[in-house]
Amino acid sequence: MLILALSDAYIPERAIDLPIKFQKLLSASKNKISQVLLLGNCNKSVKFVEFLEQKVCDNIISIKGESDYQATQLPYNAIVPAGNFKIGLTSGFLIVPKNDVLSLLTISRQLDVDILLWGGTHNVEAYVLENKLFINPGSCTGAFNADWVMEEAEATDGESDLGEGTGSQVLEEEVSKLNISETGTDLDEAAADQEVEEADKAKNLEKASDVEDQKASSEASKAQESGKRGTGSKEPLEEDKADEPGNAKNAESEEKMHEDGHGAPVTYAETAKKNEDLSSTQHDKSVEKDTPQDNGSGSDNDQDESETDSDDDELVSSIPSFCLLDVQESVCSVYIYTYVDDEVKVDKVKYEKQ
Amino acid sequence: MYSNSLEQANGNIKQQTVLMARCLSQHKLMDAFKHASNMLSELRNPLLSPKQYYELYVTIYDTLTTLQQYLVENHKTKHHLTDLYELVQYAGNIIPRLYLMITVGSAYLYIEDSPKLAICKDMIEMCNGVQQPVRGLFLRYYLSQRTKEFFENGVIFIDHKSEENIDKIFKIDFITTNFIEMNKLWVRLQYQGPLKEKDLRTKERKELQVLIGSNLVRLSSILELSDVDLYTENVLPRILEQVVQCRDIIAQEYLLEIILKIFPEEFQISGLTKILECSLKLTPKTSISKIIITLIERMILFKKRSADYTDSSVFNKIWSYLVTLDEERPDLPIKEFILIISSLTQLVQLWDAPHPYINLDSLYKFIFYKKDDYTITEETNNMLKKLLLISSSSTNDFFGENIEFDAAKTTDDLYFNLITKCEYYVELLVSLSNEQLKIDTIETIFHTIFDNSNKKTSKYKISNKDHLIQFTKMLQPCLLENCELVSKFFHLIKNKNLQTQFDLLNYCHNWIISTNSNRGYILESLIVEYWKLIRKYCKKINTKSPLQKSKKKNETLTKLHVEKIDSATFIKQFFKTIGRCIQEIPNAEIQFKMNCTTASLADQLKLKDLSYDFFVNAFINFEEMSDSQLQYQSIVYISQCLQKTRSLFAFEKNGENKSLSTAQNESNYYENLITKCTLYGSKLLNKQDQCRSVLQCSHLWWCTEVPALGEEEGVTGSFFRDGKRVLECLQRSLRVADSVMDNCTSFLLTVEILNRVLYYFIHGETSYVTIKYCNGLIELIKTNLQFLERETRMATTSKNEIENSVLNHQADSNSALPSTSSSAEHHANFLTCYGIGIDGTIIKSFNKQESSKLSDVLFGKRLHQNEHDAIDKASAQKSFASIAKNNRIPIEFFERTLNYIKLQRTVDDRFKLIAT
Repeated sequence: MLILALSDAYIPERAIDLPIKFQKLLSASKNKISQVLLLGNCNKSVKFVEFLEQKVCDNIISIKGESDYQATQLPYNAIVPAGNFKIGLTSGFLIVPKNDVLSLLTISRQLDVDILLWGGTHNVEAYVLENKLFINPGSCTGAFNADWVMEEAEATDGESDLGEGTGSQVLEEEVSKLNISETGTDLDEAAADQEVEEADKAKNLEKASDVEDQKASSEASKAQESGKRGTGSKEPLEEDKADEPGNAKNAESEEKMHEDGHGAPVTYAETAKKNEDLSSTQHDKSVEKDTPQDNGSGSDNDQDESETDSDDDELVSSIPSFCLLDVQESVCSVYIYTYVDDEVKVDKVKYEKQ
Repeated sequence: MYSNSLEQANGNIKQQTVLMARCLSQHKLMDAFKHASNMLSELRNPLLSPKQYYELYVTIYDTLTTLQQYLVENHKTKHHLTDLYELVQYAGNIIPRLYLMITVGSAYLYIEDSPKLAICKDMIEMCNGVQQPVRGLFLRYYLSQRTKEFFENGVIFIDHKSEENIDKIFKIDFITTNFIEMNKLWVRLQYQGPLKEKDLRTKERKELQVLIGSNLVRLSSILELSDVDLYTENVLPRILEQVVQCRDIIAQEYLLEIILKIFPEEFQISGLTKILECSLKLTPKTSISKIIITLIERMILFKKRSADYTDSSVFNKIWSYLVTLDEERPDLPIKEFILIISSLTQLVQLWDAPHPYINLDSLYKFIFYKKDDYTITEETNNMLKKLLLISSSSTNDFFGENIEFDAAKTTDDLYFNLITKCEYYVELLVSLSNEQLKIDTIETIFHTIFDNSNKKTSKYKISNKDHLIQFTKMLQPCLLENCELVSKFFHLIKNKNLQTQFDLLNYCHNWIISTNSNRGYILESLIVEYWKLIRKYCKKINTKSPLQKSKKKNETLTKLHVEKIDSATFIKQFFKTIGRCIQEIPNAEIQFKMNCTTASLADQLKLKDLSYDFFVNAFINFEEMSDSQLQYQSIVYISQCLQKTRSLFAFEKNGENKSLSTAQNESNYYENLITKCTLYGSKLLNKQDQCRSVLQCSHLWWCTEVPALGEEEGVTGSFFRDGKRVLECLQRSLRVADSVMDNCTSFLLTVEILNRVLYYFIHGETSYVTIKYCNGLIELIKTNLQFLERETRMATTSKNEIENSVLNHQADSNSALPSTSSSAEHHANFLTCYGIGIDGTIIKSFNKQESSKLSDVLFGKRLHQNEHDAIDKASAQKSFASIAKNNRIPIEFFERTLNYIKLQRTVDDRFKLIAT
């Protein structure tokens, strides 16, 4: 049973539409998806909802987000049974503190669900905590997000009084050992070792709260298991041929992340960034192409702006992403689709109910 | 004599054929001629329809071919063809006579030293003797068929070394003459017989048209590519002259089509002017558009094959023709003009690529003014729509190639360029008289633009005011009808120069304000663009300044200073504009959320004064809200926003407080806001809401990390935290929970408070939220639990009864969930399918068969509906809330919480101190 989870489309007030490649991917799998879950801010565009109903699946369950003013009939929470799981849906905008792990845990307890889906942060996340699976599918359109953004420029500036942290280290680093499935067998063992190391490291790091520690170790073991099981798995959605290069690239990027020895990725925003780096080295030519044109135009301003252009886009948009849950009795595989550099990338997390 | 019926005629022909063949084998030539003549008599029958006549003609043709072969083979041995040519002249009747003459004459052409020129001239001359249309046509066709071989195989008729073309010119003359005569006969056929059979005549003529066209085909096979001048100067004018002179619609349309199709494209370009001139002289009812479109399609195909061919005069020629047509033919229906223009736009796109827009604009301008001369019908509107969508309806597959154009395929940004570069494209579109059709067209265009802008490769965007003006002009009709479209449109506006971007957005703002639009949603989208602008602008200032600092310190210092002031003014201006936009939104809920988000953004940019003001505005909006559910959510939402702010309070990251006075001033902002927020929360009407609001507000005194800022729990040591105030909030909410006059709800609230207490406990707040406090709370809950369980037992409600009551309640209430008809299915997992939401609502699980179409829920609430609609108070939430009377649900929640505490003991020793 395939369940599609989308969130924060913000059409039309923040985004025009789903990326074309997402649209193709979803409409190509019309008969495979048996349910669509919308986690808020997806209800404003009639065109978008019609697209889902007509081209994807008309069994849609939607909860209200902060911008769904007109949809007064929609609930703020919902429970959906699937296989041996109960899936909880909750609107991200009523969680204080926003995106807080412990608060989410409380909600999962309150709703009595095995899997909790939420949105509102525009950052795709998936982690297991207290034997429960937490999934935030991010924004399916990559809409503008008014939350804090990383401020690298300010850190170099010296003006910043906030720059003492190590950049993107977040609480979830310990929490979310993302169980990225391996596509090649060689990688499995290395990856598993890596995870154990990480887990040890996490254990050694005596945190103010021991809870986190426990999370980390449970995560690591989880990751090992899923690493073994994940071999030879296939993505449920395939978009003709166009998907293949994406997959290949994806495998590559995973490899790279493990070579880094830098620990498992935390949020998908980062994964995507790494992918971006990777592809930018691969496509040096395209970068070269741009520069002579800029020189030709001559204006200093133009050049400056074109350099910072991509950065600016990061400031005002996020990476489009969504999740697909494949529920088979007591096993739930989460496929995370991200759209980076005009490519759709897929990652997999496996979760088993205990 | 001829037979009376077709059958008899066929029989006779067969018989005569056999007899003739027998005579030939016996070399009785005179007898053979006699039989042939008998057979040919059948072609004299005036009662035959053209179709029947053709049938007989074909059989006879074959027989005559045998005769001809015999004649050629036995020339000089048995007879001399000159003698025979003389001899057949004595045949009694003109039809057999001429057929036999052509048979002998053409046989003679096979002979090497025959007087070919003289024979040909004589044969074509003699054909004038038959003026009955059908008989004349077939006779001439026979002549054409018999001479075809010699013309096409390059048999020389005139050997004249000084003039190379003389032979070819003779052949052309011969064919042309024959063509002209045939055409005259063909046209005359129309006027044969009674008037009431006019339609039948027309049908018969169309059946015969191939006979006439065959002459043109013959011409095209004689002419080589190098003969283009010969064609233009000699052949074409003569044919066209006949076309004009015959004054017959069928002939004119058919012949021009054939001319345009059979001669090579190079000829067409060369003869363009002549064809165009000719089309002006046609009879009034002949379809000009049909001819011109065929001509244009030919040009398009030519350009496709030879892309490097450039001749800018083609458009000019057609354009000046169009102008003449406009002057000379005021009788022409608008339809004709639209069809021509439609097809021309495609030509222009191809011929004048990559800059076809000036010419395209001329075309749109032409039709824009032209249509004023006519009354516009539905059909005209539909045709104009097609014209504007660049979708050609040509189904002409003569060339085996699809000439149809798909706008989206030709170029990604075609519509975009049309809108920005062709003033009259927009004018024409806006001037469509059918409002719905107009909006449909605009929507189609924009959906294409949006789809293309969605592609990563697409670079086009609206970056200057002229473009913007064009677009807004076009969107004007949609302002009331399609908010979604207008809202999406703003996201296309992008200029790298951020001040220009600001001007563009301001232009949009004024545009919306000046129109009577459905402002709320549209403004929301515009505000988002302002937000983006602010983020980009601040980033730009921050990245630029260090660069400049390093360079030329003294010189730039003052400049930098000025720039900084400038940018500060700009940023402030941005926020003011947003503030104004928000005020113009006619809906307190949207205003509230816009204010909160703007305040958060201002806070992120360390603009605490602005941030404070926007938060204050949000509270003003809050006061305007009347729905209690909405009020509760608003309190939670604003506390979520406030909890993530950093600049509002005077708490320094590195722990060093500034001077006392500033610290107090600044901390006032944050304290003011959070106190106000908690106060509003505690004043909500509903006690549940009160309790939960205050509970959530406790987080306002307990700052948590913002990962994007590099903060980390346990590492960053300087969060703003005030355990005392947290405890005050917890206690206040506990008091409210206790005062709720409903056991079940009260119990649920205390369990929720317990979970919040555990939160602070885990976070290490033990000086106020002590173990003792935890244990006390658990004790309190347990006491309440006993009463609750007793109450449940007293009620002796069986599970089924509870379920039924719940389901009945579901059915009664006007909830978002359709009531279930198959309750049996739910018996199995009734208890496990309910849960409590974070706002205390009880949620029944959704099942596949239950979930209604989302659009059914939403469609009633389409965007363009009146947004002043009072918010539906009978929300689903309330009907859920009453299910809370089912005591099991909060009790189970409590049990799960206790389990959680037990589980935590294995990893966190502190939990061992909590008694469960």
